[in-house]
Amino acid sequence: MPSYAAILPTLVAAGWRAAVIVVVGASAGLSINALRPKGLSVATYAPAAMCAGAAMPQEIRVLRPEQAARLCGDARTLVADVRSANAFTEGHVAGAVHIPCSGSRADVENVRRLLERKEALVVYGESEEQARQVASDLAIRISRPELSVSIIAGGWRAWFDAGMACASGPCDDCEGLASHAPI
Amino acid sequence: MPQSRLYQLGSLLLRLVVGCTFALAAVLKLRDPAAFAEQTGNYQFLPELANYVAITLPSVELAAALVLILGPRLWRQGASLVFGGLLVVFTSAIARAWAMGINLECGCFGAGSTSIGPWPILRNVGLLTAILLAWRLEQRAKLRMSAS
Repeated sequence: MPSYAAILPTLVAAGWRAAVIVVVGASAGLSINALRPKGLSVATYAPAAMCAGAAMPQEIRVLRPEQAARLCGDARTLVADVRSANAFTEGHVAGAVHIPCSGSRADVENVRRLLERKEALVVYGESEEQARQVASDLAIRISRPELSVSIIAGGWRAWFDAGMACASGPCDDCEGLASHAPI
Repeated sequence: MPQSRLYQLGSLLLRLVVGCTFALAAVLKLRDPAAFAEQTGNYQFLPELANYVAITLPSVELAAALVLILGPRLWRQGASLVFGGLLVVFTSAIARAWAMGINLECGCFGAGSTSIGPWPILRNVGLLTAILLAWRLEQRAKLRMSAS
């Protein structure tokens, strides 16, 4: 068994060669990126949209409107509307915040802040699929397994038709959500 | 066949397995860097660096894979260190996300990679073992040759 003293010079010699490989490889990567017509921006990272749905979701529960309504009055629950800003202004679940599909990375950070003291997130949209995409994407980005994430079955229309509490007008709690602006 | 030759052959086979795996991963990532950046960002581990990682990591993997297969011995050891470090980081990131219950694509082979879970972790442990074994076999071959 070789001693540490015998291994150390080998590791040092391999170490600086490893550094050279990393530097050369990284430089090549930056050069290739610069030559690409649609190269990535080095300085910033922003996902294209929260609706991208590239990754698989954690468990997303589906709640009937009356089940979701029971959660709405709970201070530990955040209700999120993912429809367009105009649709939100025309009418939304009372107390909901507006987080559209086109939300930016900054929006995700603000949602994370809004969810800091919450235990449940209820998402709805025009359809279950629209809500599911945003809910699963948020669940991944926020990375809080203990957070219960649900969507409303049938989306906004089912909530409205069930005669549940609705509100209209701009979002009161959307301060900081850059993408919340009527189109 | 002398034993030193057997050691060298064993090391070459292991280096080919590891080098080809990483070269394939690098080429698949280079084909769609935006998708790879998205996958890297999903880990929520320094997400602000996701683009930088997506730009540089595939070419580092490719460079190290070429050196591991074709380079001289001392440079091969450097490439082994690069892969050793990368595999430790990759496995930690996958294990962390898996432990947190987050279900996402591992991004190991760019777009369309498998989800994180035990399989990518076992594969990484296997690759790490192969690198260590290849290094050890090279050392033994060198000792045998200097002794004879």
